[in-house]
Amino acid sequence: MLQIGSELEEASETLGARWAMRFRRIILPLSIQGALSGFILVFITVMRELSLIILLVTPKTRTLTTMTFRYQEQGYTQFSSAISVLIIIIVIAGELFSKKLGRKTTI
Amino acid sequence: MSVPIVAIENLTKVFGDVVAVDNVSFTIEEKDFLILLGPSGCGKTTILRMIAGLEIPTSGEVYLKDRCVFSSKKGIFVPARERGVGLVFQSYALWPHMNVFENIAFGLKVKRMKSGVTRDKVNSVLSYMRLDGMAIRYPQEMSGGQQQRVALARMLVSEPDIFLMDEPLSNLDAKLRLEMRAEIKNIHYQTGATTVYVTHDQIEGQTMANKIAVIDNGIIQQIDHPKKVYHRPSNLFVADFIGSPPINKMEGTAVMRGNAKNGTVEVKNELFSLVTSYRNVLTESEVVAAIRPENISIVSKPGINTIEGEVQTILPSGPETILQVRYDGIMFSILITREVDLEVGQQIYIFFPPEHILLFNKHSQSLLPLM
Repeated sequence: MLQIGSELEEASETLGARWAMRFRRIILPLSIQGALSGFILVFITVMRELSLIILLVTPKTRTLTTMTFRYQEQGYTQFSSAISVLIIIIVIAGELFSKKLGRKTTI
Repeated sequence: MSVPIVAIENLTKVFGDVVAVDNVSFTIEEKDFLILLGPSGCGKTTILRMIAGLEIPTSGEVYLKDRCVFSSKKGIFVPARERGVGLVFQSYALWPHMNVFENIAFGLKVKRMKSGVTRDKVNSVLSYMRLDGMAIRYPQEMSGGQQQRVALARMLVSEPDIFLMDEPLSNLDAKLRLEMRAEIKNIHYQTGATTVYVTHDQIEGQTMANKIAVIDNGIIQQIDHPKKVYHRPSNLFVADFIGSPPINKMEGTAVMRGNAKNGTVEVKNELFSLVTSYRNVLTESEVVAAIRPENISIVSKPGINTIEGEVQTILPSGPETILQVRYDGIMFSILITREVDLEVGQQIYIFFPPEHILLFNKHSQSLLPLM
């Protein structure tokens, strides 16, 4: 959505369009293609991801996600929640790191 | 005095630690065609966007038709959609997923106009902009000039009180630009709508506006009638920016000749001395004398205010010729509106008419008063 020129939205704003109208008539139609392809890309990656994880898991080495799943199955809800929090922290850290990298390369 | 349609008071916009617009104030009356003129990055587009309501000023006030649409003191900000202004962008900003008809009709649909009325209005503006038969085309299937017409049509159909245009012609080739200049001037003449037009092209400023604001570093250097800006530039920046080829400049010291009543001021430096029509300039003050290229004339013999220079370059272009004449390291541009029979390297006498010499204070850069 950031790739749509801001002027395209501003043009509709000066013509009197409220935010909802701008979104429905300008932003959505222009970004729907990008949004769809983005979704498909992520969808494909996710599908592949699961198979990779299964290959990694052995009785000795387990990934965080399979651990969560196992604890949940056995009724240790607190353990599985703790691991979920850990996953969230790692993902946020990764996100922040990628943003920092991105800023360095764009400027 | 008529009522100002746009009034701006002490408008300032700061981006980070850059002051883009610095305490700018001006008013525009009904039917005015104001051009905001300046080099890129001078803040002219930011001023336009603050009038449109697309940029929130850091401080100051904006009034449109006596209605306050922005005030930092009173905490007022009226969004763009409620300001009744029409804006044409440099990039045209036509919506690629809509055809010409839908692009133009959008503003009317927003206002919930009946479809019959919308169709009539769009069709009449299409034929007004000579776009008949283009209704079902998409913007990307049209030439730059046609896209520009669609962008103008989209603004016109909503009948805004104020037209705002942000460098609308800078993406067009030279011939088309000339055509569209006439077209926009004609639209302004017929609709009588107050127009604010941003450009960095000083010729656009001279040809279209009845008022020019020359802007540099976020400050209005001069706001005046185009002729006044051209003939009486308030400082050296304006003198330099307006006019092509640029104004000729010579530094020197002002010297008084004769008595204060009927004396004249001469500008002297180690190479020559020029008589001016100035009467009262502080003697021994450092000045910059400036003269427009078309005001220097070629004469046959030496005399007052005449120097002998060598023709360096001859640039003929149809009705006019630009000469560059060198005199001891200084290059003068001369514009002649007739064909000349000269050769490079030839020695000629050039004359600086005293009444056309402008004097500027070297330190403050501002124009000195004649009397």
